[in-house]
Amino acid sequence: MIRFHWNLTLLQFASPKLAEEIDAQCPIVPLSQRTFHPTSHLIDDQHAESLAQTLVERGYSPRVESASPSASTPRTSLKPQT
Amino acid sequence: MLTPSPLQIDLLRWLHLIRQRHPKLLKSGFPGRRDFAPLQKLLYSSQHIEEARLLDDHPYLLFLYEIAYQLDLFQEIDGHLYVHPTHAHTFFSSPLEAQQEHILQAYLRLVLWNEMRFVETVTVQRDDAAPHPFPAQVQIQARRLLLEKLLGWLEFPLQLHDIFQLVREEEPDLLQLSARFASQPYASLWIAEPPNKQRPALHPRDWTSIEGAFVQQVLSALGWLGLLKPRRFEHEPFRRQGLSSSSPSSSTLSSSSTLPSINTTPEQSAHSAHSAHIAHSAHSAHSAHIAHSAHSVHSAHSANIAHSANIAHSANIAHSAQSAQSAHSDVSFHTPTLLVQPNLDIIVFPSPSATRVLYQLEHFCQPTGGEQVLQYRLEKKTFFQALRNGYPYSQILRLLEEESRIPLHSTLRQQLDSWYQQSSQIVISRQGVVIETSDADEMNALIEEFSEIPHYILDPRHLFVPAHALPLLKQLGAYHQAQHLHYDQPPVRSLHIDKELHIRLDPQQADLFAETFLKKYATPLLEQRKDQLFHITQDSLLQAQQQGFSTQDLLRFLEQRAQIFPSTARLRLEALTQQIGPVYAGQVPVLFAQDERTMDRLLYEGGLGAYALRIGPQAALLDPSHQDKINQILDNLGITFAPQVPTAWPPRLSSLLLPAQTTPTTAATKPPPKPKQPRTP
Repeated sequence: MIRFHWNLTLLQFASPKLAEEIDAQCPIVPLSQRTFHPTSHLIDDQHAESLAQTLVERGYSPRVESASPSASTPRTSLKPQT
Repeated sequence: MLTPSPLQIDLLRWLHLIRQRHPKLLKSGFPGRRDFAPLQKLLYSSQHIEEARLLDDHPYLLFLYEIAYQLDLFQEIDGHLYVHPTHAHTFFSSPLEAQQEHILQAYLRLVLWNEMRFVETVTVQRDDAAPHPFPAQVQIQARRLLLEKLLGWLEFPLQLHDIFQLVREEEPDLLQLSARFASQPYASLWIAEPPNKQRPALHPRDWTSIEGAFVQQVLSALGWLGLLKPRRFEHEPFRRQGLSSSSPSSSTLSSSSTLPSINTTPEQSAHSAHSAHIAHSAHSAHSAHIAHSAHSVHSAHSANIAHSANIAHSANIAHSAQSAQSAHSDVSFHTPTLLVQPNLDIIVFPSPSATRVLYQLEHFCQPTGGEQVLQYRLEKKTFFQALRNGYPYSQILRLLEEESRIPLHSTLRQQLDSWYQQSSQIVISRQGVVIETSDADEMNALIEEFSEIPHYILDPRHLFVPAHALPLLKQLGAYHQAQHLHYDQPPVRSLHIDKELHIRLDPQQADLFAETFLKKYATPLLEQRKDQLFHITQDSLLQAQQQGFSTQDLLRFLEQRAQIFPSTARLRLEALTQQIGPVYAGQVPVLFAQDERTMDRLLYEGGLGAYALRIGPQAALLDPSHQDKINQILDNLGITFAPQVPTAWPPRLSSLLLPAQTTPTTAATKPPPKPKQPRTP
């Protein structure tokens, strides 16, 4: 039986050493919903942006991949109601 | 050739700034100075915003902000500004004429940008009760009316005083001041006179200072929009740039409230000549720049680039000539817009598709200026930022390859690849799919099908497909037979919980997180043939708590995934996590009386109430620490203890606690009934 699990966010590190190094600075375990390998974690998508920001602040350069670049749903329209 | 106006480029720059800084909105509703000040270096039009303390202090800043706002190019999320990707992409990918039409329509709707606000020589002094002389609605109407008039008048260049004369003759009450304020249209207006003096405005003597100033502001705005070419000096006439007179209907405009559509005929306008000039200058600058850049790389390659540039240059000249001959016709073939140089500098040539390319370019390049042609630079910082914002590397390469007039140089490609490799150290891949198989053999069979689909193998039974490859998934045979779980929807109810907190997990139904989560809180028991069994115990919960896992998360998890979550199981869970309890059960004497009235009398008349807690009509708990005192009271009253429950009483003493049809009283706290006092005559 094959199952497709849609809309998931994967955090990947190039090496276990890097994963360990980052985990020491900003713990990954609490964010990980499932760990397949020390380098591969499924995380809650709500944490993706803040994690990327935290990593940038720590001097790393994470890459974010998604279906459409920065295609977030507008939460508020600034357009005045006429 | 039609080219983007300075305003269109400035809109792109505003979005560039938003993308970089996500400006925070202050209480005023605008971004603060710290966030908008960097725009000074980015703006294409020559505006000086250094002095502006607030965004709405500066006319062009406010104008630019509100045009972008009216076009919905950005959005507010949690008090910060973000680019609205779909709106911005659609807008800048549309034809230039359509963009300019949208911008013009947005201009006619501007509310925050009020022309009279920036007329420094006119001040308003009025009572709070009096209506404002320049409300937004009136300004909008006046703006529209004036634009309609200008369309007709500016068939030929006019000087400012000619325009004033025409407005004064045809629309003297343009701002509706006479209509709204009757005999004293300028009653609340003052005119500044140097040095540092003010005097009340006089109607109609100060028409030029008030209505005239409004006309000047509109002309400035039309200049920003690229529709007019206003000059500061009155002896130089205003010229129409993009306002069309090609169709008979547009040359005989009516003063209807709706504006006619504004077409652009580049071959008849000065704009076209300007564009041609830019194109020509660009090519000259371009060739010189190429030669210089190429020289700095190495000479063998420089010859190649120079050759390519010459070809591109020739092709463009030919194209320009063709455009000049048939300016109305669309570009029938795609002319690359960029010159991507090995030193990472990029030159953007005028092109009908320039804004589409610029919009993409602004994601990953830093604008570096350019007067005749736009220049950008591929910088590590902006490149990384683009990748961090989810802009795909493949899209960067595709744009550069498709839009560059010369092939991408290998050194540039190596540099980009190197940056990309650096960014691949940590990847957050959103909106992807995990594909799960029953066993490793099934996975191996599946991987054979995946030769064309990018994927990462997570373990022998799971692989991940990133979001950009999802369209390819539907080509798989397995796609149609597979079970699909969507994680943007509530999870499947795959848990069976009993009152002892044994949890049975159905792996064929469960989501990917269920097993991992349960292992944090429960002890795995023997795995059965089909299902997995867990048991939540006090020890397992204690361990979870010690590791910082929250009980609330566990409750939420079980509520979301349990087929039925029995209330006894919940009670047990809450008791185990000490959310309820502890309780105490001890030996406390209970005093029973033969009826309710007797109990009343013992408690309130006999004095037992101080040492007893009534728990029913015929029952009260006695405080064991005052047993002697209680015995003494009862002894004094002459009441004896029955050696056993009298036979006349109900067999179950608990029935004495609750009367048949009344609720338990709290008579011990209720004051005793007062004896009736005989009425005095």
